[in-house]
Amino acid sequence: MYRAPSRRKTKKEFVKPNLIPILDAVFIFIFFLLMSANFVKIYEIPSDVPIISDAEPPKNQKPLALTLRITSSYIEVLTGVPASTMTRVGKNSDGFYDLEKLHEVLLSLKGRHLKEETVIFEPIVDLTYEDIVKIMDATRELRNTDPALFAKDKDGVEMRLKALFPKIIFGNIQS
Amino acid sequence: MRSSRSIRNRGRKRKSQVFDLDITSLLDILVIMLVFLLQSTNSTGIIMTVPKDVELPVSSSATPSNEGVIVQVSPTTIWVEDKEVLNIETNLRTSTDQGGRRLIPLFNELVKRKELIQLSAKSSPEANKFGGVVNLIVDKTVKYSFVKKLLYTCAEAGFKEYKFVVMGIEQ
Repeated sequence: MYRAPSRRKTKKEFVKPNLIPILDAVFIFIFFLLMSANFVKIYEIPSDVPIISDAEPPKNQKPLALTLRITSSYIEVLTGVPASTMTRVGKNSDGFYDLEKLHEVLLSLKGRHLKEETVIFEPIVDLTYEDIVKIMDATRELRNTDPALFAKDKDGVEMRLKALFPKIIFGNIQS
Repeated sequence: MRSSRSIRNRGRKRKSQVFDLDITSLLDILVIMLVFLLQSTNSTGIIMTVPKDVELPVSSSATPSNEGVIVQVSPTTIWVEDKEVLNIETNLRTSTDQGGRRLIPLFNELVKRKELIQLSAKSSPEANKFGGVVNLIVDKTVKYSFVKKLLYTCAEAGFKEYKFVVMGIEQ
């Protein structure tokens, strides 16, 4: 009996890319990254050693000489040479210094002295290191909620300031 | 049995089945892991060891760490680059001078480190120069009266820049 010849179906062959070398490279990369991963974010707060200078300050500009004297009950904000008390920031209901008020005071000072960056810390009371870091944070950082402050750079272009008083110096380490 | 031996099946070769593993989902996981690790990798290349007894204070600072000599301070011990130099509990009174302001073992070790860096900088132009930076890893419960001694000792040893190492606020 006659039968029609069967037609062979030509199957389309899918070309698969060889992923093995890529996977090898990715695995090596992952091990390298796992070794160098930094899961705890560690940062730093810079501070300079106080230097006593004999040089006279420029005559045209009055130095701000911002000093924070930290006592057991309040933070005294001092300015000028010789230093005079500008204001005192007490403690809040939590029993800690009112850092919000301190931040506001410093913000208003920064608005008047845009180029000033230095603040001198003089803790008189024996605070813990953690408390000092909290006060440093309130002094250094400009928050997102703070009004924008602009100052002219060397080329005369107005730039938005990113920090309040970022240069902290401990003034009484010799005492 | 009969059907397999029939003339119709004689020309056909039996194909051995290749086990084909679907690795698409594995690749998805690897890519996600890669992105996460790339984000959390430390690009500064500085390795800082925080001793077991030291709990760092939390800060809003976002300044990345710099290279410098590392001083670790717990409520009981001081280390310089993981080497114990002073046990505060037992040896503090006998280990200070200049009216109790300078910590002698810490001063000696810092001077030694400074001289070592200066020597290597002289011998090799590619070696890092002495930048006068000291990274202070201090426990958050340490009192300011003691931090003051640390700062004074570092300054006396010729270090002009302090970097207080803190833990960043999780964002």
